[in-house]
Amino acid sequence: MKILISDPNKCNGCRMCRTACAIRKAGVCNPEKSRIQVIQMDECDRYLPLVCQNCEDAPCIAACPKEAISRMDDPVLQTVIDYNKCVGCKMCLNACSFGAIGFDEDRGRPFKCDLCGGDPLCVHFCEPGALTLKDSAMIQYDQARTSALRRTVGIRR
Amino acid sequence: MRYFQVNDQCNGCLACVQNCPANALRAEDSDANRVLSHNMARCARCGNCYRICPQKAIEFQFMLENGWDEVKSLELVYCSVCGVPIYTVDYRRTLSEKLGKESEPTCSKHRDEVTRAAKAHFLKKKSPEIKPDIRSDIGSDMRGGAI
Repeated sequence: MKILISDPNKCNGCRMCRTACAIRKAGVCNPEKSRIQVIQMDECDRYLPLVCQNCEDAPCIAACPKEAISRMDDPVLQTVIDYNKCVGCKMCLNACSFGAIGFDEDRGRPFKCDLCGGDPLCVHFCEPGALTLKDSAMIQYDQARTSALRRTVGIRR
Repeated sequence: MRYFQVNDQCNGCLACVQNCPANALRAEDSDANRVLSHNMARCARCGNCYRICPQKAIEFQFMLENGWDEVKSLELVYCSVCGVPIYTVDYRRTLSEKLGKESEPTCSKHRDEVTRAAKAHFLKKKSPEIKPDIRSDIGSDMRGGAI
């Protein structure tokens, strides 16, 4: 399984990834149509590029009333939207806790990152090298999870 | 409401029923009454009944009016950060039923769970000390810059 890693310590917030993504995926130079979001954190002066995280227990799948979103057993493409079933009710948009699903107002359908089929353009366009595509086997999830839990324990709602 | 209407001028001659090409009009004689019915799904909106009616009883013009009938009005929920309308109260209820939890109403740009986690990470690790570029021994002007 491939995963897009972003390093907030390297990201300079240029949003070149967004432009590249919008041109490749929507054919227009409109960052609103890009599959990648850049979260700006003024308090600690950092930027966090973010795409669909392919959650194990995905809220978008639970929220979809038409069962149009499903998980696939694919090394690259994990969570997919079936556009033949999708009706454009925006349930997945409002369910996603990352805000990683966007909405195409022209087509009336949501969209999300599909990692460009294994070779994301944003990685090539990232000037400071903050975005990398890694194999999930390389990541120590247990360590990351305990670290994240330790950090977020005080701010849980 | 914009649908087929018949006014009090109607005397029940049933010319409209005879001349409707789409069989959208029906008359039934039951007990003491003759009941004229109209089927919206069959009606081709050709206006034949309106032209043919000798009593000028059919108010066909309501069906040709280019107007909107309000069918539903629901209360809105606004983004708690930027204040743009995102969905309705009923939509939010459906969403929380499906997810099994209530969440803060925010638009997708202000989904801050990740942001808060990341901020907590960076601020705890190394809080950036913002040193003002103003010397305390020198007075500053109203704009905040050193004189």
